Amino acid sequence: MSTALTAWSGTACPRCGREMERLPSNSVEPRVCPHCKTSFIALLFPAAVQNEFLGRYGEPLREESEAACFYHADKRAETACDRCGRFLCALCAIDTQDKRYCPQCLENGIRSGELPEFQSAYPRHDLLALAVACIPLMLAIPILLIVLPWATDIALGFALGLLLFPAFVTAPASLYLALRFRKTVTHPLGRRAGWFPLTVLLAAGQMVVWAVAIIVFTGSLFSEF
Amino acid sequence: MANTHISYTALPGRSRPYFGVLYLVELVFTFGLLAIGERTRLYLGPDHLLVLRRRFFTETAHRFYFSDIQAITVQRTTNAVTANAVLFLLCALTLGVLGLYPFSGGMILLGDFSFGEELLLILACAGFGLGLALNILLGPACVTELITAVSREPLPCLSRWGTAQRALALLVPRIETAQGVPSPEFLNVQPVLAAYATPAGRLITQPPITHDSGRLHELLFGLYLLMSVSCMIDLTGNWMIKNAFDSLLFMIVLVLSCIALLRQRHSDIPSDIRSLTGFALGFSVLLFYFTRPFTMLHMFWNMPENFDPAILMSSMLNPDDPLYVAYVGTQLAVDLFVGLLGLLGIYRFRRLYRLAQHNAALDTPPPPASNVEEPPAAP
Repeated sequence: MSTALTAWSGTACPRCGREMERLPSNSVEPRVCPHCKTSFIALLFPAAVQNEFLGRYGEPLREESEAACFYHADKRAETACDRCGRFLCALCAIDTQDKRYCPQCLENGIRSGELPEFQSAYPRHDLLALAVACIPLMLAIPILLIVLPWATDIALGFALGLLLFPAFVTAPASLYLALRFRKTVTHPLGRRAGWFPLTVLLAAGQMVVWAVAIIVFTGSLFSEF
Repeated sequence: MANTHISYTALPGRSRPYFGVLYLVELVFTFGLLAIGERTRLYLGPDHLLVLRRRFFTETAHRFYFSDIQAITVQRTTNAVTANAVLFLLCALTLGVLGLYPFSGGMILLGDFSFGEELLLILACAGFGLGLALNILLGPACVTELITAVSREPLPCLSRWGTAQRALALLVPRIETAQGVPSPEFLNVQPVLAAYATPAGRLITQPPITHDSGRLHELLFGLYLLMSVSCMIDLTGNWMIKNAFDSLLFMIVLVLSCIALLRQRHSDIPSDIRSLTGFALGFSVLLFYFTRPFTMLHMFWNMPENFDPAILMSSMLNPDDPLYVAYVGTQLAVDLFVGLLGLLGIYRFRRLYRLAQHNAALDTPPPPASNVEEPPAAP
């Protein structure tokens, strides 16, 4: 099947691309395409007619003695990177609020966290810690639901075992994650994530249950002797 | 952080990938902590729209400044109707099995329903019913896209018509404040938005809408009619050769449905026929996957001491068994419905297409006189 680059005109049906009657104003009310019967809302804004090209091209070298861009040897250098000092043409220089960077430094800066204003990916350590704390429940509850209709001591014991035994590893791990990352939480909405207290509570509770179980078990063991 | 002090307002709409099925799985098995399907939410900032996506334990934020947004489109789709129909049929089937149970004298297939089987059926019925009710409450489905000069961004969190309208009512005034209210003159200049590049820079190409004769759909709906005839025969008795033929027919229908779904995507086949094809495939697959595990579990739990496959098969495909009659009856009704409605729709579509072609031929002006070869003048 041949493909063609389609450009949507603001008055065409977004599905079949056929032109429709123009409306005098933008409206959230739906329209129905008379051809393919698709209901749709199409809202156009003035930015749609701003055809000027805002990107920049590097200026070519006029003389061989001129300083050239580090990345484009045939382009004239206009500035230097504020981080690594490499010469840059207009295309390569990336303006920030008060500095100019080359693409490589910008990438490194985002990766290392030195340029937080360009950060777009945010790890959710709080959710990770909570998920680790919930692993025993995640394992035990579905199995408990499945085996409950045919409840036997072995099945229930297996589900309870799944609830208790992984907690021996997961509770300290989640507690570590919660304490390790409690001050490094970043969020695009600028708020401190609130799952850490719950994680600490859950992990601490599981550890208390383990401690009690060990005390009871060792107590019963010693009482036999 | 640069945006620590920016105050954001959440817009309505949360993405529910695959109509919430995946979300339900996440909720039950991981308490919603592990976002296997991507979740999206929209936030209104002072001068931009923040699209926040979460997958597993990472959130990514994309900012769309109000002054850069060129257009927003919302297309209504029939996905919710198809999902409703499939959920309703599954709910009816489960209720039918549960309802028929008391009338069968407690004997279905190889023995009594155990407590586990009853619980499984009740849970399945409740699940399908709840899904149906939620889907009806959420309303019609749609696809929302935000278009800028260099990108075309789908917004999966606005996948319901009502939610999209509510979100647009909050978003559009902000855009109009940043760019100004578009005048009627502006709306008449008909700007062409060639903004069909993804953020990664890859161009999105769309095949043009082409005419489809509908032959494949005609064959597919014909096969559904044949399957309904086969179901009628199944109500009277069972033969191994016919069962093998049924399985082959089912596989052919599955393959043809997939091909038809691919072909109809960018064709002029009416939307009701397109939906019917998707619905029929969805129903067939769901019925298959719903009945097989249940039958297998039933066999497993009620395995006779002296296992004989022939006796097992004949007792499972027994026309006197209410469960079997309910299963075959449902399939018969759906196959007949799909086959008849589909064939009627295809014939109507062809008639209308021929009529349109005929009208277009009548409206075409005759070729200009200069192009017509004149006979050489007589000496």
